[in-house]
Amino acid sequence: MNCMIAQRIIEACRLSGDDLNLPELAPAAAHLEECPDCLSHFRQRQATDARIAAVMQDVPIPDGLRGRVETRLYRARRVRRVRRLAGWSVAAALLVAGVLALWRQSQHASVPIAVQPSSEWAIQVVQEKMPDAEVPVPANLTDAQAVASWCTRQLAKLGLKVSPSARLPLSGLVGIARTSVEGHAVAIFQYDDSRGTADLLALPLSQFDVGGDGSSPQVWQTRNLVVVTWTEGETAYVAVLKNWSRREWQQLVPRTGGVS
Amino acid sequence: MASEYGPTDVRLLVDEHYRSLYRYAYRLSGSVADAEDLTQEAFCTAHERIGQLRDPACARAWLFRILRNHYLVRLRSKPPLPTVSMDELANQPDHTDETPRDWDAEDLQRALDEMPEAFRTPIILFYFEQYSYREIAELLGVPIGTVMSRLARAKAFLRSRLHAQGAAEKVNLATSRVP
Repeated sequence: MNCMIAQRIIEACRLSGDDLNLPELAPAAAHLEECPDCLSHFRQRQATDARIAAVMQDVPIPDGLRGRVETRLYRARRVRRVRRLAGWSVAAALLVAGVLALWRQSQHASVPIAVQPSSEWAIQVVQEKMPDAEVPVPANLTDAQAVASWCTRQLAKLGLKVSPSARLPLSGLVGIARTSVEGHAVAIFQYDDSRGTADLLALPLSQFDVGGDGSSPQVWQTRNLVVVTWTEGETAYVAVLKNWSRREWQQLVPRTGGVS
Repeated sequence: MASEYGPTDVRLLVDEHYRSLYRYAYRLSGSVADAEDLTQEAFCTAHERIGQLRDPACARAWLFRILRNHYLVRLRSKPPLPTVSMDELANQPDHTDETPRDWDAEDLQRALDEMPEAFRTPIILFYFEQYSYREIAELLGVPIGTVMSRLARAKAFLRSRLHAQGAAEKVNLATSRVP
């Protein structure tokens, strides 16, 4: 081993030089025994290293440092506590809001739907609760085209927009009315082809789940509007249910395979 | 045992280590204000992550690692300071007489400040903490060969700065940083 390699290894030794006892440094230790220059060099390095280490560790500690560290820690703890508290508060508020929303939804869903067996009852509801809701049917509605356009205008007056693409069979419509049954708007129409006249007919909601002669009701739905049409023999019916959801409709009409 | 240092016992760590942590921070940063700030930040972080300290015997190394991470973050956010290129340090064995000239702690700190961080940290850990090469390599996450090489060059630089008259001329003082 030459001096250069030995001194590189010496550089890697600890201050005490104990590492020279390691087996892997044995060649360097042997070289030191044989080379007085390297040995002297090694001792000088040890002395230098010892002094550097001593000076390096000699750093005066500022007065009151410990107290300032404690203060900073205390503040950090407080900030963390406040943040945690704020987080919990937000979470609790969200939880309460969620529970409230669910409760409201359940209250809304649990409103009993007044289902009565007779059309007389429905007509009575129309007359009692919304006496002005009945719309007189013009006498000149003699063809399907006129009926359709008239009904469309009436729907518009009620703020019920029906998309042209909804393909409502308006040829069957002759009348429009609105009532409020447990908070839901219902419009029901009847057109009698055989008589060539139109009558307003408010049907009980329970009749919505029947297809009459077997024809399935057709359902169009927007965000808060359900329009149902069906026929019974020569009679066409349209029901407009405002603020109804598909779920509510499906609960009401579990057998309407035509719901889409 | 994590239980020895529970979330409320970070004060024990402060009692035991705040001096050495401050000294280490001072040697790293070369500034009293930065050193104090780093010390405080390190203990705050230690408080937050006290659960990560599984073995109290490793608390000192753990705190040093936290402090160094804070220091590195600061270093990145500041414009680079001029440092000496370590590339041209004498690799030849130095048999010259190392008659010490008069040097003090300020000279030492100045020499440390001139070093790129990649050299400064290992040399501080070596002298200040008397860490072994292996311990330094583990703490810095670099191979032990790299630690040996950096330490050899850093020690040579320190000696040239602190001892031999005119030895500083051996050093390339062009400002640059180690990649």
